[in-house]
Amino acid sequence: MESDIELMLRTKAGDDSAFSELMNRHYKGVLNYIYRFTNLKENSEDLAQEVFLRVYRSASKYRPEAKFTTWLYKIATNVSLTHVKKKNSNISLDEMTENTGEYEDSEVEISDDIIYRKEMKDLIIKAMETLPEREKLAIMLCKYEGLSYEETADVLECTVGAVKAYVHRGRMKLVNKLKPYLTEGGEYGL
Amino acid sequence: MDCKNIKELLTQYSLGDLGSDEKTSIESHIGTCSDCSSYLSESENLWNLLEARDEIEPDPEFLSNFWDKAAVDEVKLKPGFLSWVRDIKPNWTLAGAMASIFFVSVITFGVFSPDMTNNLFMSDEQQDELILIELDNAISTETADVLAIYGAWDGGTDVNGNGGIN
Ligand SMILES: [Zn+2]
Repeated sequence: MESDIELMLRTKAGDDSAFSELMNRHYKGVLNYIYRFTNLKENSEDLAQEVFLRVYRSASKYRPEAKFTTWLYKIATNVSLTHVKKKNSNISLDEMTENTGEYEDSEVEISDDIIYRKEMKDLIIKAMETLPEREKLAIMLCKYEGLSYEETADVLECTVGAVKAYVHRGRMKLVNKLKPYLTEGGEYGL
Repeated sequence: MDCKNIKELLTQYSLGDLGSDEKTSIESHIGTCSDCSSYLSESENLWNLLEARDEIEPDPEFLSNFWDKAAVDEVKLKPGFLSWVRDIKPNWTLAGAMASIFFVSVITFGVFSPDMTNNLFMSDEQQDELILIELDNAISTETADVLAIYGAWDGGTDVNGNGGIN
């Protein structure tokens, strides 16, 4: 199988079928990354298309030094952030630690009511929504996209140590928020 | 180490990211501390539970949609400096804000920095080019070697999460 880099170089040389192959490989991953980040099903497809359009347009400048997926997810992160930022145009990026998706509540109140009505995945989405941007992104890139700490650090423009701290802090917060579901043998446990 | 310190290391511990000394002391603590051991299992349950998030399937037409857009793009968009001017609409609040930012920047830094990272004022191409340049700078041979332990560059089927931290 040809590597991403080989395909990108072929794209650069004008071979569009190589880019279609790249999209076949990575489109679903990028689409779901955007979806998990923005929580908006309808927009995710448009945003994923935008990401690949940007990559395609930049193909002429592509040099094989950079790992393709790192570049791809960096652009996907920028596109998602810009989209979320437009929706929250009066909140600065650093302050924007909550309400990044369609969920209005920033607090996750796990009442008995919710426990019986909501599915687990909704609770996870809600809990993720309350995390600061960078903790959420770090967990998404490491956990869902399978990026290494180093790659995640490149995407988020921070150190590897910072990525580890984001993942850890985010994970601790999620444990606290979802505690009733996590206790072995507990009332709502696994 | 007390429980607080142990808990700080449990994420790295469960991701297999600790040296053998730390690993040993955590294991001996967990063996005797029910609080920390139940916290560890909660934390690992959480990590597994995250997989319960749903996935969406791409539009079956995603490729042809893309090539349609790319074709339109090529006609109407000549890449380069002028492409972002096209998108500017008269907005005096924004113009005022930009003028202030410009003024403050000039006073503060004295010079134009090529590293103005405010994405909103940049065209997509400029932004993506900057990303490429940053990545090129960031990835030295040394870090490329470090990256090598995560497998070949192509990632390929890796995107859905088998090569990283699981
Ligand atoms: Zn303890």
